[in-house]
Amino acid sequence: MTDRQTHLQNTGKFVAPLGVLIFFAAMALAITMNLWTTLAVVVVLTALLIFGEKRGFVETAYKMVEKNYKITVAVFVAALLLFPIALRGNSYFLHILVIAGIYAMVALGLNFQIGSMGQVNFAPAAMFGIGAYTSAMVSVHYGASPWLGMIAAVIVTAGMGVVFGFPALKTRGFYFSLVTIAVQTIFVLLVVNTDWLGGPNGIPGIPAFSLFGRSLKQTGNLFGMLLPYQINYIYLTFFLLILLIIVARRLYTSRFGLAWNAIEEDEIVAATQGINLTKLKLLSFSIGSVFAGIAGSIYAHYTSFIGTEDFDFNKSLILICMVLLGGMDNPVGVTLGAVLLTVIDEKLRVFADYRMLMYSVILIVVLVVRAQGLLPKRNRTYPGTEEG
Amino acid sequence: MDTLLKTKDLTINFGGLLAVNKVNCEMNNEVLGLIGPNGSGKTTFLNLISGIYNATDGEIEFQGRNITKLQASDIRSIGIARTFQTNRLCLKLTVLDNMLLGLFSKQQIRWWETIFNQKKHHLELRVNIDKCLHVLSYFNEELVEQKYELIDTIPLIDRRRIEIARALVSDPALLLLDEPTAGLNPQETHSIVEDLKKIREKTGISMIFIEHDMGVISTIADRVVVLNAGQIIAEGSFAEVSKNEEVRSAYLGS
Ligand SMILES: Nc1ncnc2c1ncn2[C@@H]1O[C@H](COP(=O)(O)OP(=O)(O)O)[C@@H](O)[C@H]1O
Ligand SMILES: [Mg+2]
Repeated sequence: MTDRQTHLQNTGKFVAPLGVLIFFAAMALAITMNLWTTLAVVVVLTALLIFGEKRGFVETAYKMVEKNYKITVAVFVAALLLFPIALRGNSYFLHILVIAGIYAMVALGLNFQIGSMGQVNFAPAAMFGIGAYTSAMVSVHYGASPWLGMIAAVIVTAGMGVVFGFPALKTRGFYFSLVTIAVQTIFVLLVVNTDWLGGPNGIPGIPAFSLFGRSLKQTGNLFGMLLPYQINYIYLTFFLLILLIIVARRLYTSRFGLAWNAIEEDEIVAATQGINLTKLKLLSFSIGSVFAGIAGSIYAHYTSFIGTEDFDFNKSLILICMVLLGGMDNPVGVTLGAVLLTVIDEKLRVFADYRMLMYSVILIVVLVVRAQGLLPKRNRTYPGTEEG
Repeated sequence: MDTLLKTKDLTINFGGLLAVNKVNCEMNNEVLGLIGPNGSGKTTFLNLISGIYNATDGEIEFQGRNITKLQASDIRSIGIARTFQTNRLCLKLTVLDNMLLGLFSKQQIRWWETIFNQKKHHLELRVNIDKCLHVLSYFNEELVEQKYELIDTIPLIDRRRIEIARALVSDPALLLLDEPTAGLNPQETHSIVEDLKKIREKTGISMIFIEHDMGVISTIADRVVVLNAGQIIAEGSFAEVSKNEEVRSAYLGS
């Protein structure tokens, strides 16, 4: 090992976990304080990333984490587990965390199309909705366990992903995006006009998940501390979210992630490398849809009521923004984008009617300052092949 | 000797324009020079063989198998690889990632295995990376060292080499080269032709080599086919072809 690498390893042992803790402290501020604090956190984070990238700090930080992966992850997981307990006094803050985790899953799925393959899909909310409605119908109408509902949601969204993927085989760019806008609109219209799906009234009374015979809607108790039920959902959501991040990262470093990038740049070149465009596009859509389906299922059994306004075109736009703001084709970046935008969106409630306007202004400012998103895609490096 | 590639009355019609018109061409294990004036259908001929265009009429046979209807991705898998007239590497990817793309069809791993069987993924990746770096080293060691550079930062001559390497990495039986020297200065042209000769010697791979520089064709091609307006007007050794009157007026004369 070179001096520099030893240095990275030794310093990183403290710096990387410390960075994780500072990050959680910043997130706690963003969630618990008012809108201005949240925006200040975003501004500081963006400034740090821009400045840090120019000076090479960001690259150093990545290396430090890589060299001290185990300890950093351990600290991260511990902080993640304690975080909701620290916020237990206010169930609204906990609610924001559940929702952030759920949107992060959908955004990760959407990233397979937008980030990896460069195809802007305007229907992620529809897919999220299909997952939610499937899961809700299975448990409300047929009285099945919500877990079975989740499995049904996975199966149905995987199938729908293939169906929705077909337009992507024939159309590209703007035309493809138009098709997905149509799909999104049709989904909402179809549900609103189908009584069996609750029509405009939505589906009330969706049962909660239960685990080991205990409903997740039950309040918990830890050493005498009262834990609101949202904490159960936070753990469920974060657990699944981390699994999905791992899946997304593994696909990113595999030949399939590479093939999606090639399709984005040049379909003919991709095809002449032996990449079957049809299979790869359908894979991107169905895996992405399954992510949305899992998220939809959690959402339905968490809120216990769903209606089409949860899955409308606006929601799709917000999900797309999460991918753009967080960083295309970087699962960690996408998750960060989803969490930040969910928090900002919640804080913007004080603006009532001007909420969407303020939201757009913030997005435009951030994207003008940092067009590539907060944590953009990184070049793949493969362990074992020394970097120069 | 066995026929490697054979086209029978191969034709493509672009709304009335017969860009390739009843071409009957046969090749064995050799370097076939494909020449002809601009717009004579050379690139279109390669596009037909590599499955990018579908023939309007006629057949293509590769190693005795009819491949006329195969898709571009299948053509690569059965052992025909190509480069493009204008360099077409993925600019946003690194040198190594571009090379790994060339191995896509050789990889066995399934998508669920990349998720659930990381051991297999890493084993396969290791072998593939070694293979990519080995093929890059056919050209020079500097390319190997630049494996983590983005293509954006690589000069044209090296991009050409990488594109050829990306085609070679899957061990094809036939390499289609669409003007690999276009846009290069004489020294660079010489150097890339020398590279290709070395590769031919080392691997015994067959090539179809489109080229407008007669000097280059005379040194590398075993045999030459001349296209004009989508039709073969002459074929044979370079010496024979260059004496042909029709060729002189269609091509050399113009
Ligand atoms: N996709 C296409 N659609 C219509 N015409 C085409 C297409 N591709 C090539 N052509 C035409 O076919 C002819 C042969 O082109 P090409 O094969 O590129 O020639 P060369 O490579 O010999 O210079 C040209 O007249 C060109 O305009
Ligand atoms: Mg050409």
